[in-house]
Amino acid sequence: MLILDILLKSSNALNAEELFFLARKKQPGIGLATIYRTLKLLEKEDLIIRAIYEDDRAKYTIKDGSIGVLKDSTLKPEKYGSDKNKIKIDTGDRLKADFNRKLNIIDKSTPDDFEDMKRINTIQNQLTEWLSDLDKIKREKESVLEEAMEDFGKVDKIMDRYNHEKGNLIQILLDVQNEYNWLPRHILLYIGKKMDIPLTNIYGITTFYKYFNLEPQGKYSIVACVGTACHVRGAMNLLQRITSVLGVKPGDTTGDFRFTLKTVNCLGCCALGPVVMIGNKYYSNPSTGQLKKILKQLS
Amino acid sequence: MTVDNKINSFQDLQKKAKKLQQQSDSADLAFSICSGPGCKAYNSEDLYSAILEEIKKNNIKEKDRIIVRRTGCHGYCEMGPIVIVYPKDICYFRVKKEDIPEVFSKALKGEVVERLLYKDDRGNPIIKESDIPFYKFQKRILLNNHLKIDSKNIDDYIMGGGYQSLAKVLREMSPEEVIEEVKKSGLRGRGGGGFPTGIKWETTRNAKSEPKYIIVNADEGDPGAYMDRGILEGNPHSVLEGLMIGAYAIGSNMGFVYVRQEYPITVENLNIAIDQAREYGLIGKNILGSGFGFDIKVHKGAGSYVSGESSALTTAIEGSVGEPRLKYIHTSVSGLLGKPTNLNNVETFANIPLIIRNGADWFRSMGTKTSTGTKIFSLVGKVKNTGLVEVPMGISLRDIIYKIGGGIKDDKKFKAVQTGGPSGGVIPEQLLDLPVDFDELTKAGSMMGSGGMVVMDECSCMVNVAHYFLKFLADESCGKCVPCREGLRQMLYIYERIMEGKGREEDLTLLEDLSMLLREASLCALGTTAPNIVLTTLKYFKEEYEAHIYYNMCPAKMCSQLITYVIDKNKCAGCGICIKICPVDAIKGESKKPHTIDTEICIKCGSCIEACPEKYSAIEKKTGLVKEGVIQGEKES
Repeated sequence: MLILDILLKSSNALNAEELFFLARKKQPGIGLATIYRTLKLLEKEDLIIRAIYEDDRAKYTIKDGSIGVLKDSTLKPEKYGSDKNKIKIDTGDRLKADFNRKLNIIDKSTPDDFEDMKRINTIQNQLTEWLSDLDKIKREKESVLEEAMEDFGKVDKIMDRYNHEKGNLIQILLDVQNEYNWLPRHILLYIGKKMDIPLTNIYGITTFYKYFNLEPQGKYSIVACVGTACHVRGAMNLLQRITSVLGVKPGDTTGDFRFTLKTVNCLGCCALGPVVMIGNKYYSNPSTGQLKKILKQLS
Repeated sequence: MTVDNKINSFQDLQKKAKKLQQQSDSADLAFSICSGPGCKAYNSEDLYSAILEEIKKNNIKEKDRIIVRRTGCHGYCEMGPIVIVYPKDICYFRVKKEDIPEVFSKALKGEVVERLLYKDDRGNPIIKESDIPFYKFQKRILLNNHLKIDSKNIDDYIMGGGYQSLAKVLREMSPEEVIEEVKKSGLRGRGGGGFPTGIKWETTRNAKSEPKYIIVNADEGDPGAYMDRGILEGNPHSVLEGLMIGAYAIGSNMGFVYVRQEYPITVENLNIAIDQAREYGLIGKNILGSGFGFDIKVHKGAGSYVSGESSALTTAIEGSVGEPRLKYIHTSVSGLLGKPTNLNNVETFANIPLIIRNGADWFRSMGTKTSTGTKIFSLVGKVKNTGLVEVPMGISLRDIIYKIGGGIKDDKKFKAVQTGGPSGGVIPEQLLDLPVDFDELTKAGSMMGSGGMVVMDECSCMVNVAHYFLKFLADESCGKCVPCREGLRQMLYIYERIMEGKGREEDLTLLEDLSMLLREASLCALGTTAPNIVLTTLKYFKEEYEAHIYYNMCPAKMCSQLITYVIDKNKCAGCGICIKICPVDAIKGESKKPHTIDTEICIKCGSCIEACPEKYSAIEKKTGLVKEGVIQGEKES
């Protein structure tokens, strides 16, 4: 599993948020709650322990006993029938079963198994590979942290502009969104901590107001107006056409992160209805052919 | 920025206005290019740069000989982009970038480009804007100034006598006198409720708590309405001046403008206006040497319809979730941060300087007894001339739609006009002679609202329209009170059922019952006015509901579940255009032979109807459920 993998490859203990950070790099959709759940599970299974406490937060590391198990099993993949040198376990039950199996096998294994020089060579190769992998992970982690620090610097500037006043939270969030096009979670966490506002309040606001995005957006936004004036002039037909051309529903982003389709209740140019705003330009009732052309030009 | 820019006294202001007027008079030519939202969408920015290029090309160096202004919305968005050439007031419509060199060279010679002029019914060109029917029947006291004001330049506003009303108030009038004058003018809030402005101010003034706040409500969330945007983008200073007069009257030193971030140009223009006013010393401490100080902050909303409600708006400015509260104590007494807060709409504030300058009696001379002055409407939907129109109160709907709006687009039949945004209702043809004022519209079951006016023709299904508004309101309901949250949702289910042809006989009474419940029990105006659209459509267009329920028919052919697209075999020439255009490949057929539409695959997007060449017009919409290829016009027994 991803988290175990990160913990395994990390030289020092990590707390849940750091883990979340690293895990998200690999699997963007992962949530903080998942991390906590998994950590709890792993702890219960005696695979990891709470190593140290820092700022009232537990840092986790692989339990000494289990490290051997894990490392050994990664070192001898062929022998034990596992085809990859990474451990992949999806659910708690499978994790438990798999480890029990592996523990049994290791107990039964003898030093004779290592006599085959060829096998030792492959193991060594894998070891170097693994070490370089570790280096890469380390570098990656550093760069992610650097990136985050950069983000925080930017956010600091925005907060300074509004004197860190709680009343200006919405304005701050608006500016952050203008900067990033969406509201990354780590930034919300940071704002909450700096301004002493509980995260749940921030989420209350970001989910109440329509403008805020909690998911990454496409490079271009396609905003279809569904205001009254556009509605009576056939906005729904236009929207149908756009969805069929793009292949996504309103509110979604295309797989290649190029376009996000949104609807809005009024763009304020009712005289042209039905209107769609693609990028920064308004188009009045484009046909399917025109739409395809416009989108092609943008890519 | 230098200190010299500051205007320190009333005399300074007048001197400055005179000087600017002389400067402007000495100019040979002036171009006003509309930069309103409509014209901008037609690339009016390109025209601006093209004119500047022409000036360069023609080697005209004296800067003051030609003035080029990017103005706010002229109103006639249908014909955009609009360019007006002064001093002859030549008005050009639908100007393209390529036309600019010709326009420019002819303007230098004092000639007219005839092909860009407005043509009346007989094809005669009309030169002046005020002679065009669209403008002729309007009474433009707020919008007219737009034409001569570059919205990014405070000088243009001052030149036209701007900030003189503020000066007059600060110099000659006590706060009580100001309130008295506003009360006398009979000005009522333009945001929708129609509450008398003077009384509101008085309540705030008399509230015994300090400090007091004053807020411009520019959270124009009504779909289909853009009056506030038009004013704020075109003439932001008029709103600021009105705001400051209001602040002086109620005794406030701090004001806010709550504006939607969906209007980026508005926010930009507003910020520029505030900075310029501050530079001139018109905002800040000791304004015009009077001792009165005032400051303004802009607060951007993040997209929430209900936040336009006064108590919700104040909480939004405080930085929390904009939900309304019970208003047994008005915001005038306890609003922002628990302090007395006065909220008025953009248009209300824009009227104030005019009332002060011209007097309450002048204002009363327009409109009806209970609704004085003028009102801006955004006339949109299926009319020939769409745009912003400003008319005196009391004008009939028929005049607005037929005289100013030029009638229904494509000469179809008029069905209804929807006023007041989502909170309003629909008004059918038999009530078209109704005078437009606050009370008459409320009597008809609709309301004035902020001034959206969406015209619908025979192709608009009333069930569909009501569903549309309910969906909007259900989305925007904050969820705090149960009647609004659950009531709207249940009503929406019923509507969906009806639109799918699964409506039940008892649905109509159920809708009425729910409407009454919402009206009685909701917390804020969003819930209490939501049933207007349901009740008015039920009252005036009951037969449409019945057609949906009993016959599975949508008379307007709009509800996609109840219509099918059919190709007329006799008309279809098999040209294949529709096959190419269909996004889901539902149309099949060989070339030069009549095509057919597979109704199973068809998503009813209407692309094919638009694509079918006019000489064939072979594709038709049919209503009634199709079963085994037969259109059933009647209810199954």
